[in-house]
Amino acid sequence: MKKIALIGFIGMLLAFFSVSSAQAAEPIKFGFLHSLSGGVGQVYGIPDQAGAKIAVDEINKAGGVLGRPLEMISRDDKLSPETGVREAKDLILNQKVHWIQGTVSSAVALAVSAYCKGQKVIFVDTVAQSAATTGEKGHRYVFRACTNTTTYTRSVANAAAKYWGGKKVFIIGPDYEYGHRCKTDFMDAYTKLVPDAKVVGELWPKLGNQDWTPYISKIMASDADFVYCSLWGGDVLSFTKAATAFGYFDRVKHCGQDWGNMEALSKMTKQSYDKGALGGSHYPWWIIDNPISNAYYPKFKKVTGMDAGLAAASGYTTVYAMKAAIEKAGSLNTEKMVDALEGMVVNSVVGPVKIRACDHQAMWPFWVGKVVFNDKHPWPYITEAIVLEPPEKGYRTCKEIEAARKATK
Amino acid sequence: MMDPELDRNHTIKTIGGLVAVLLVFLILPLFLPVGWLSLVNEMIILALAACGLNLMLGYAGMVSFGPAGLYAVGAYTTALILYYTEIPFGLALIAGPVSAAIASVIIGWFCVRLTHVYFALLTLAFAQIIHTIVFEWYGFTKGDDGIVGIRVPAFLDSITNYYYFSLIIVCICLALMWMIVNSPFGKILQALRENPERTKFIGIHVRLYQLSAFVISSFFLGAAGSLFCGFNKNVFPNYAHWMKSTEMLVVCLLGGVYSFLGPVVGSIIYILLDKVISSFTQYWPLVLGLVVLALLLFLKGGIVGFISEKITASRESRGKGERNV
Amino acid sequence: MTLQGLIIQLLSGISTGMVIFLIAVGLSLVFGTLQVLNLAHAAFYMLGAYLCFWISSILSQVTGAFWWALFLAPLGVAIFGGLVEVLLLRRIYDREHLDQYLLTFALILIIGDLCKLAWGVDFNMVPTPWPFNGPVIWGKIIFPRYNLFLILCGPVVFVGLWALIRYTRLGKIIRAMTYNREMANALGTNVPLIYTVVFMLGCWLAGLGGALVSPMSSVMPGMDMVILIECFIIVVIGGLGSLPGAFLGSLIFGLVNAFGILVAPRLAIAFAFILMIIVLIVRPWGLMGKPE
Repeated sequence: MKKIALIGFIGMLLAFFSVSSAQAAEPIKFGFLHSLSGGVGQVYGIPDQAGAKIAVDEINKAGGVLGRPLEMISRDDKLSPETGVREAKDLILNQKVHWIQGTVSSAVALAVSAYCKGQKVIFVDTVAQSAATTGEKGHRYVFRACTNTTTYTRSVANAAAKYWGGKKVFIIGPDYEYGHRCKTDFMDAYTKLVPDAKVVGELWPKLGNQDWTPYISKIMASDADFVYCSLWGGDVLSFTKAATAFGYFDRVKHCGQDWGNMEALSKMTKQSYDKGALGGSHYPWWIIDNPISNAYYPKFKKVTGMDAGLAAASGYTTVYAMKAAIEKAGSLNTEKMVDALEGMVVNSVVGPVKIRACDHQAMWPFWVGKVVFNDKHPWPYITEAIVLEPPEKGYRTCKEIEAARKATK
Repeated sequence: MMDPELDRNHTIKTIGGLVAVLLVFLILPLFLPVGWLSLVNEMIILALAACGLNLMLGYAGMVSFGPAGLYAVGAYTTALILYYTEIPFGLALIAGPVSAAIASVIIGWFCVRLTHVYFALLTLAFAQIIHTIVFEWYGFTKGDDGIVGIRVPAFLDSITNYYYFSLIIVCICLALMWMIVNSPFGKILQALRENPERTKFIGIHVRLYQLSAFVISSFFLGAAGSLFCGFNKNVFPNYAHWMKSTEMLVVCLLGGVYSFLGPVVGSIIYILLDKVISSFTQYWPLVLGLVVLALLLFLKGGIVGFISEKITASRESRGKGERNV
Repeated sequence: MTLQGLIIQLLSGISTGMVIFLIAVGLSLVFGTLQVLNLAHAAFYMLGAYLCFWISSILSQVTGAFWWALFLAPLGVAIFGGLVEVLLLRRIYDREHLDQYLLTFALILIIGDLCKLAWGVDFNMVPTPWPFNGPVIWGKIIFPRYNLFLILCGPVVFVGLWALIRYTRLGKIIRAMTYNREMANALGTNVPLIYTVVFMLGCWLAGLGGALVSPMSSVMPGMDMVILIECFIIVVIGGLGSLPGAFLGSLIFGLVNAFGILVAPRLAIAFAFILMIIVLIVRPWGLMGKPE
């Protein structure tokens, strides 16, 4: 009886498969793989998808790419590498996409990147920041459209040295690889600028932590000159709320790459924001003044109701970059597209960004400034921002990448 | 009801049915696109894990909240061996379930001293410890970066070949499990589930049997983990996460915990549901939750139990009809 | 570490302890009386936080908006919990434990997505109510007013519950049922009704915890998953079903956490787990529970 049940379900399986195997010939399909549900990741996944969609619509209205419309197929990776690889397989093997872009979790990015390498399909990491994706674990078919942990730790270190220059550093970050790497990279960069700086305390709360009280009290009781904080996403918001109750931002110098990003700041209030912190932003459109950006952020606001941040910029730019690559290559042949992308300069919302040939990393700049909140905007934003010039300064050199790749097993 | 003629027919039908199902699985690669074959591969590996869990759950009545911990021990053992040494794939694969079994002896020894909710909570706690070790020990396990690009022998590097490989291993494991379940040992386990006190009275060392069930179950969980590691060519700490444990429990429930092949049916349906639901809506947890509720309230024996009931009912009514003639 | 630093860290530990007590006490109560481990307890907590956020933003022009929300949100959660108990939970009381776990697990998924559907996927903030915003400054000691308020709430809730159980008729029935369910039934108490009432009380407590804790950080999807395991840890350490056990377990947890992160930041996460394992191995009924 159970066997009959089994056979029945196999039959159901086959029905599904035969229906779903149909393919379309005309549009150029690409995969969008991101965290579209599940709390933390959504903060980036949803705006990234919206930004990419705006780009697809604009491009299709203007005639498509090589005369064919773009078609974006979205999949949710649920912040799980298992699901990410499963969906990547579906996108590549069943949907026959020409490239995949997305991901916010570095673990998913690394897993999907390894799979795409085997399949020889281009994967563009749009948000996930682990330097290893284009560094130690980089390969011919992976590209990154935005910054990585090296960039912003160097940029924040640069700003901290310039504005504060303290020697005793307190580190707080989320307890996983990203947080620990940020600590190492930040101290590497900072000690180059302030040679006898050292870490006087560290804390590693888990991602999504709700009760910040013992962490904040420990920081405030320390004698550190400033705090480097690699918390991101919703943690920025909840930490700020808890810290304000301690009067933290009036007493502590606080810096971190995600403390100027729109995704979190747009939700803060005048009573509770990271006043005086040195925060970073990937896309400070109130500072940048170029025609692409000036057209994009109001449109993004209009279409989605959200204020554009890192993910919005990255998703939008990536689609245009791929369009440029296909047109330069004159075909959808992956190898030709890779060759076209290497060294290409993309006109993005943050200005011209070069995709470096040796590691496929976009030389995306990163702004770090002081957070203020006044009548100019209905949310806190960074001013007096400094950026590393040229952007290459925020990334490891090609030689360093090569050495790192050799050193990794 | 004790009609030997009927029984023999029943056995022939069962074996015939099994052979038919096996044939279907064998010829699937001939007409299924590779992308979907990969999904079926995932299903049979999950089926192995769920059947392993069901040895404890359905047969011995031991509810574990932490099967994913032993699954991950299997997966990580294989992954670490393949990553750090030149030991051949086959040996690395076998090392997985063996190390899971060894770990489960220690974990199980502590857990079987407890019952019900305390047993469940302790298994959860141990699984979380495994998760924490794997997550924090970056130097060795690469933490939450995971290990990617694990080497697999060339002949297994295609989806079709790995599918056949998985099918063979899963069938062997299921056959082993079938023998265990139908042995005197298996019968005693079921007696334990039904009535532990009575079983103790007839001289059975309850804890020893439960520990054995735990270890055997963990062996197959580890086997599934190792197999999956080779399939995906990666491992991540969330292989040990309690969400993965719950997935396995739901799969058993879906198919029916009181039937041997129930978890197989459950894993096919679960993965299909997961895939199909996620492509329609971002609210897949809601749909999954409702499905589980519906199963619990209306389909108490899982899908297989439900269908079994219907078939038995119709057979009985047919039988009655014939006798009346 | 200076003396002031240690005092602040001690206060932090007590604060964390009281917070987790407020969240988890309902879980212990429900298990003690109904013998059901409600995995969805943290989801009810999250629902309470969301309701508090929603009500206080609707009433944002009204003075004392937060206090109104604090009053109404737990009631809302209790009513929802009552519906869940009557329609769903009742059907599985006499079934296997696995079924109970899976049902409450399904509730986690459902409640989580219902919150997302109702309030979106954004992170939300509940303004800290007057007069508890800002810090108290005492020389070199700085500590948030609101956290001090929560430290007071903990014992207040504890005493209130204890009085309820000790002195009221309902309390007597709860005690009788925790002790011996069949006897209580035989003595004519309306067991199904009591089950519903106690479950609603547990949900009310979860909702209260959610509302009270919401101004401390953000109200966001997934906030239930983060504390779910912690709830289990403290009720195991304290003893499932024991009220003073839950209080003690929470305090221990809070202090271990606060001082653990001083001593070994990277391992602090594991301390609570190890404690839970030790308790389960050595004394499974917890510090103040009764042996089975």
